[in-house]
Amino acid sequence: MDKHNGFMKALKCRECGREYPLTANHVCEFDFGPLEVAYDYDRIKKSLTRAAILSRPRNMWRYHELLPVAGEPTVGFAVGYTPLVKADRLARKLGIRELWIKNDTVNYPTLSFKDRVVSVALSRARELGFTTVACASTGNLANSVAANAAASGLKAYVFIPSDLEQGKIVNSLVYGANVIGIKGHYDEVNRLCAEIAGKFGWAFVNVNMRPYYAEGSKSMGFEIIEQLDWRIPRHTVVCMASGSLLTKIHKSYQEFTKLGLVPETNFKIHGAQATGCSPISTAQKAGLDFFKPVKPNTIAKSLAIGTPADGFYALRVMKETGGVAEDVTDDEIREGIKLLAECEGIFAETAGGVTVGVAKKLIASGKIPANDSAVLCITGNGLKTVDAVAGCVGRPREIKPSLREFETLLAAENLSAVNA
Amino acid sequence: MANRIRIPNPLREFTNDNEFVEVNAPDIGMAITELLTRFPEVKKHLVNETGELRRFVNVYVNKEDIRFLQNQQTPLKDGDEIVIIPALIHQSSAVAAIAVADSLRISRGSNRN
Repeated sequence: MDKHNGFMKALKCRECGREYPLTANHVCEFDFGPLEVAYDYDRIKKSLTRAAILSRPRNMWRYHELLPVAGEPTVGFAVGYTPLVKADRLARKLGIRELWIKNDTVNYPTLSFKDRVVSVALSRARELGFTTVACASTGNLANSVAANAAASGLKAYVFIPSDLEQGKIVNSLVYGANVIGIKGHYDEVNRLCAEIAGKFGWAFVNVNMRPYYAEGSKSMGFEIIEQLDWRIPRHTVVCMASGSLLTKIHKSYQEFTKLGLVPETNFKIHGAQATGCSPISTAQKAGLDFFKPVKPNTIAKSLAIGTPADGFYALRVMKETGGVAEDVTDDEIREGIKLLAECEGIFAETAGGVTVGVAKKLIASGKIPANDSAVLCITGNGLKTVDAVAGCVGRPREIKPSLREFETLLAAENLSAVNA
Repeated sequence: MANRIRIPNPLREFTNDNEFVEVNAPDIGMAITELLTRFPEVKKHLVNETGELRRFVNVYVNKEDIRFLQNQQTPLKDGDEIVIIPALIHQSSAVAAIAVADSLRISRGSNRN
């Protein structure tokens, strides 16, 4: 036990269990497996009680013992503790007894769940002495790295596919980050970043800092449990890009159980993908424990990872918990976005449309039973991907600034409504 | 049946710094066995205790991941290139493999013409 490392013990290979020092490193040199942070749960159990959590500020750091920074966090004090919304109208529409929306469309500061992982990665990067941070991103991560780096005085390089939505590009540039558009899809961006990370001494949040970064996602699961009054939901639907978020939601439920913060209970975690990029859901439906890489073609660009780094572990989580995967077409994604907006007043980006669309299918098929309860993890804000739905939400009716014109318009519409 | 195996960077220290190793084998399993016989230090990194390829080691024959062919029984024809890639070091392993395979196919095609 090393006090200097907080509640962390080591980096540990998920495959062979070999331990490594807590540096910027993500691959086991023996069998090339991914490294993960190992914690001292005995010490955490003494420190992290319900009472302790409830006494702390309402942000993701109220669970800091289970987040991999050695000292006090220095980036992202206001991140997390987003609303868990009881979605009664959407529940009726989808035909389920109880439905909740974990609403990370309003996460601070860049309106996606990525602020959770970035605040951990950047806090840890500072502890390790880095002054430049970087990432390979489908957009949301780039926004978050750019913003949080700006706020903490770090230099940032963000690498994105050059054909991303304009909203996501501007949302990185505005913070003064170095934004590099790569003429290729995300998997090619990622490959380039692996090479850059090997050559430059930067903290790449989702390459060499990945063991720390990924743990930030657990805070979404901790919050769900706390906001459900210390209960693990029976069903959780999570969208999958790399598959990392799904595995970390699972880990969060396991850790709170292990620490005695919630009683042991059965839960299922379901994965959602876009049909145009569905390597994990295709494998799950075929009963495989490995996936076939694909070239993405979907409007859900934030989920467009054809070679998902955590695909294997996501498949394992679904198998272990009895969850399933499903995927939806671009039209179903748009319909999902509209359903969530019209029923609950929440405007999600395309990934949210994927999650809602998949939940609809799983409820309709009985894989999530109608008399049960489910949480949908909604990860990003629709204002970043307005183009995706601009063509299917209608247009404003234009009139002159005249009461008579408005009354005429209303009468015509009422008449057509009656006739219809 | 001459084929060559592309060795990933982290393992080249065990293959005398060679990027490519030439093998003569009828299928992937035999090709890997030949590689491991000639360079035994590679073995513990590439396969587990039961002789199966490690989970985060991907092997491609030309364009295709061998798990979608016949795994270690995948037959080889003359000139097929085998690519070994640790999945997390180059997460876009398939893309890399496809690029290699495409370039091979183009060069082979032009040779035939």
